[in-house]
Amino acid sequence: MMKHIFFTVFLAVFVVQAQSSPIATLPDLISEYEMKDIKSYCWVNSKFNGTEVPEQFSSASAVFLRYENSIELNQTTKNRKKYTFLTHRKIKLMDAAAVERFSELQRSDFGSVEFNYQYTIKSNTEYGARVIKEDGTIEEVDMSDFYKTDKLAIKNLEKGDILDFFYYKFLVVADVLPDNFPITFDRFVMYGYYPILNFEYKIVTDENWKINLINKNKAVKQKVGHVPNQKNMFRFVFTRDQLESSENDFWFYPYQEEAFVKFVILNSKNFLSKREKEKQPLIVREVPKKELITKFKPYFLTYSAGANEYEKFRKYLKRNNKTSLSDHDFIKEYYYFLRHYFITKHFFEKNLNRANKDLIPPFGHLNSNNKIIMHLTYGLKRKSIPYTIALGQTRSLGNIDEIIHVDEADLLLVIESEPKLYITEPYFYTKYGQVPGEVEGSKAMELKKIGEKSNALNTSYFNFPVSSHQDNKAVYESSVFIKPDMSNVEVSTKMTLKGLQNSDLPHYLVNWLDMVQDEAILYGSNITIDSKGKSKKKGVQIDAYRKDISKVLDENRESFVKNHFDSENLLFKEYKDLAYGNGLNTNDYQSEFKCEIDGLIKKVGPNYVLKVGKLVGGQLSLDQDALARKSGVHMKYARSYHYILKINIPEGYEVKGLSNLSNNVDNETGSLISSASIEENTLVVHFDKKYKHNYEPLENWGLMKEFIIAGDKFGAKEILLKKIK
Amino acid sequence: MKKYKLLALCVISITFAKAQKYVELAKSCNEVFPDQEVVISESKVEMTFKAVKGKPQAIESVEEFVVCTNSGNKFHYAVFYDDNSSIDKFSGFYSSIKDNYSTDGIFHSDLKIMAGVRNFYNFGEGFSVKYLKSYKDLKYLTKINFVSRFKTLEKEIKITIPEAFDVEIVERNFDGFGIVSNKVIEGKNTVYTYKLEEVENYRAESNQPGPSFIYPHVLLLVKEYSKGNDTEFFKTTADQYNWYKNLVDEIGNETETIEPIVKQLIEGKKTDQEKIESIFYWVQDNIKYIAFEDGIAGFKPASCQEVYSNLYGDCKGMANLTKEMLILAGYDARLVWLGTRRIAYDYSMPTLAADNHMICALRMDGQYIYLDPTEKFIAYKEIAERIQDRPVMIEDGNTYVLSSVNKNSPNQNYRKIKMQLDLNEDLSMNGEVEMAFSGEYKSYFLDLNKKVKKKDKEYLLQQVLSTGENKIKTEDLEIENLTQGKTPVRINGNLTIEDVASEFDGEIYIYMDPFQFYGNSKIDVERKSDYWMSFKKMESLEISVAIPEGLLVESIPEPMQIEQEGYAFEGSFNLKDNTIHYSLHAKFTSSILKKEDFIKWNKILKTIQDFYEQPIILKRK
Repeated sequence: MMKHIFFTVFLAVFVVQAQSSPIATLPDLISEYEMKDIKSYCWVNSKFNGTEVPEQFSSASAVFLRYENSIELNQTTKNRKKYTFLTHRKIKLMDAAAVERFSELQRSDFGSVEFNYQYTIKSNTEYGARVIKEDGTIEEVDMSDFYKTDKLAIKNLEKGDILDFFYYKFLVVADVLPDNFPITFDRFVMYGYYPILNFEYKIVTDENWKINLINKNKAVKQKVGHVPNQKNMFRFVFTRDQLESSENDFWFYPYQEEAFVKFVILNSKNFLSKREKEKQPLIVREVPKKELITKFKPYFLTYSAGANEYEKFRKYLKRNNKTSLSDHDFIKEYYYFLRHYFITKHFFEKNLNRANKDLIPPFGHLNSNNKIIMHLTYGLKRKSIPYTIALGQTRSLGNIDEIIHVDEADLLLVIESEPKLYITEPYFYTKYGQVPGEVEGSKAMELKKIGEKSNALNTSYFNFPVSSHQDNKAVYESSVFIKPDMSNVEVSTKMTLKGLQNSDLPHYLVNWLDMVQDEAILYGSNITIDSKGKSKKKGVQIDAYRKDISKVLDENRESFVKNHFDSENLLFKEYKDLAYGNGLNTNDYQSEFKCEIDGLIKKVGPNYVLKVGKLVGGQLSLDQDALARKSGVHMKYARSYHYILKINIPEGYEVKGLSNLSNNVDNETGSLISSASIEENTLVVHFDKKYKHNYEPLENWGLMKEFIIAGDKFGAKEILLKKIK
Repeated sequence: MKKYKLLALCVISITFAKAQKYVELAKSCNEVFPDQEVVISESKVEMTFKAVKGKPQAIESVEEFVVCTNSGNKFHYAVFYDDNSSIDKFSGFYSSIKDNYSTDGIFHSDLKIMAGVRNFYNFGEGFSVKYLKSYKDLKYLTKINFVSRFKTLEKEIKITIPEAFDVEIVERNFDGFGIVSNKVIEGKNTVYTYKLEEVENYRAESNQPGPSFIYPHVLLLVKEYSKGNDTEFFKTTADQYNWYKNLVDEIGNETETIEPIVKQLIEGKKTDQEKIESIFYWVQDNIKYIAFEDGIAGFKPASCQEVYSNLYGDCKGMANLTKEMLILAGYDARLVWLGTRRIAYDYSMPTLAADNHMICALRMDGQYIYLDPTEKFIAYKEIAERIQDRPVMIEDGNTYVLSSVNKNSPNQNYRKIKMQLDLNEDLSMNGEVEMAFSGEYKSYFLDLNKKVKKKDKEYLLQQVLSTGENKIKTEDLEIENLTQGKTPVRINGNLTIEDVASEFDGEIYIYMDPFQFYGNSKIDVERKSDYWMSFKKMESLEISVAIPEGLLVESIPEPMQIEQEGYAFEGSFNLKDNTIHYSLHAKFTSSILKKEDFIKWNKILKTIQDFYEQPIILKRK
């Protein structure tokens, strides 16, 4: 009996001690924790234990009291590395909406850190969650089902509670990394859906890593030092207190507007210890100029793999008597030849033998592998046409000064002519000499050979040119026929897309199979897209593919026309391509579509009212939230839209209310100019809308609203067809 | 059988596809079902009841021949099972996966998926899928569906029932599907055979009735297995109730846990209604609905103390908590089993297929009052459309009561808008607005209001009041009655409506109705299912516009009156004291628009639209 009591007491004491383990004995590094103890790191040893919400956040729905990410990278043995991360969130729920939101958690709510690794020896994960009630009592959440279902229902959650949860993971890998290999890359803008009271991102590494970091507009406070008592372990701590919440506007590029942090951790032997010895800052903030030069140097060397295609190209020129072309024409011909060879023809052939066939060309990415550009350089060298390389950064992600890894740079080939000519990696509808809207006007780094005979490169900066709204124009010329019985209207529209307006839409609308067939004839490719003359098997295969493409195009085109007129009361009749606009014959995409629209004409007494504004089609409409914009306006490119309506005036009627269709809003940001006139028996309406720049500062939003609202209001404009007595 | 019968016979013996071997078959499939990625040319389903190790089970054997009818695709095929069934064989795919399956709205269920993927590279490729599924507890085998995700040229369903089994087969929705059925005795087995041709797949139309209303299927009522005595089957509805009751008896409610909260909730409340409302609304407000459909847990309510301490539960758990709280408060409260309006069955047959929901009923003055705590913010005695008029099974000690939930009037769910506006010089209108809504309108709004952040609540109000129309701008909005109960939510404020007038040579055309309720509710007449609205309702819009000096009313449009079975519209314009009074009243006494009425509905809609678009004509003096 005595023994039993002693044992019970011993156990009780042990349990109490275990629960309140002395904080000092807990390791400082997350990688040193046993899986079972990681909770202690977050919930016992945490240096942040605040629970109060400052006055400024008192009206928030929820407040992140703590938002913590930790990464640790250790070389454990000569050939083994251990990567560890922890995400820890502590959220105070301030209203019923927050209770509703956080009473069910998904795996993505726990956050994550991605590592680039290949050979995993061992890995493990741990999730934990607890609820701290307002009276201080703590209820730990049973996580056992979460590992199976990826979903967690939090019990007994109430307004005022603090939800405290974490995700911990380690990996032991056997990767041998080359120098400058990026093990992890992360970026985050300093605003969130909920305010954050205490933000901390901690990175601990041994000496063999290099951290390249951008801390734009002092997004975070940086603190760098050693892990106590560990000479070869370095700690980088980024913190921020009292971060306000923010909501997204449309046309919003957060990496242009907001403070942000972006970093990459690269493998670099003894980098940190060397820097320390040299008394250099341990965090670097550098555009990886040297690496950029190394990466892009091959573009200035002779690309011998390009010889085959170049020979084929020369034969094509010869066949077509194009042997004495100007430099520009030569590059243009070569550009489109290579595009056919590597993109359009390849796309058709690849898909024909695939199970999941692409029915429309997927959107290409600016930052592709630039293989075709390499081919192009071969031709340029053969023709001794001088060129350089320009590197930029998509505006939505920042600018070239802020890239921290070579893979972030977008490449354009620059032909040294007057004016300079910019060439991107070709894709289905890219045009020779067109700067992509994503980089227009942004800062670029130019790589240029120092001299004819030297392979060394030097760098300089310039800004990419910007296209104008006249360059990027969409024109819609509609003939509108009011049926004699006044029941509805028939509309036939010719659409012309110029410049950058002709980049996205063709993917959805163009019958690319016909386009590739035309190209194949031009270039003498050994592909036939027509089933005629093919084996039965091949014929069936091509016919089926053609049919599937037609089906998806029919759907896309009908949906496009309905969207264009913003009407469901529309009978789609016809759509045909007039010009592919892929740069070969024309740069502009042209098509014609026909439809009937109900509900635009209504009888009022002996007269009829025609909703002319609706014939222009849907225009941007701003709700009360959008009107009160809070950030600068970032758009893909400057552009203009011109609509011409030619409407027959039914016999026996005259038009009243022409002045309703007049607008003259014109300011430095854009314009909305519209007018109407009668020409013989036709009502002619012009509607012209311009966005003059690809960026407007917030203070110009008021000016932008003037023409955007006028455009929206035009949709409600009417004319009266008055019966002539 | 038709021409493809022969073709199908030729291919059924071949298990795996060779490229384009079935071009002719694929063409036949295409003729019948154009624009499909794949078609099942032949499907054979055999459901055989048998004893396995002395236990009554059913084995479903399925063989389907899949033909590629487009230029190539990734073909995904899935079979579902749960804790009471297993997939024993699954062939035809190079690889397959087994995993838990989750659907929207169900937090946790025992539903699992066995899935295979196979690449089709060309038109006319084909292969056979085969699987065996065992049903280990026949209670949960409630039906065989005759349609699937894929369109099927020919389908045969064979059900073999040995004499030791008493299984009633109930045929549902057979009309119009050309189903040839046959029943023969083969030795000691009764064999039912059903043959169908050109079987459409499941369709996804918005607001369509539940699948049990529209697709052909047979209900399997397993009533007895004569060679065993340890198995529970439902010979009668009473057996089904007894099984439910046993589950309820096992709940283990510990009501002392919830006594304090009940006391607190009814303290100071004088009338029965006050006490009941206090409890009912507390559960609605504090217990989050999270759906669990996990094996037996799909039928057994969680205990009241568990739901109370978790602050979440599914419908059963919430109903059980409500019941126990009401009992503690001194009321006769019961659990109620029912199927929502998606379920086409009632309790005339003993089947688990009749249920997908549980609520609580109060017995008062010889009447039942139904309380569904999962319906957030619905008022006491108000009933959500999804359970109105539904047959119910109410616990009554060792027996049960069959009844149905009351059918409430459309007046329960109303939206009333009143505006007093001035016409401005720029032809916009502005003034005061008052909006009130009740019933399911209120319930929907308050639920949304609860879910949006404080910061976004103003925006939500703007959107509700403007019905999403950007030409309506609101300001100074105030809201009242954000709590449960029958008192409608009221929003008051000011608004400006733009773009409602056109001027033609001194004549001003004014369109009074900025909302044009139902004006764009045209229904596609090609639609195959009836259209089920969310709920019956009543709409009322009254707008008064004072005409400024300098303008004369030249004409006002004719009134409109539409009276149809199920709905009515009434609209009018009146001029009094230089103020135009516009009113629009709509009432839906039924929430269902039948397919045969779509053409009429669209025609009526045209009349309504014409009414909306008739202007008041003013003239400048």
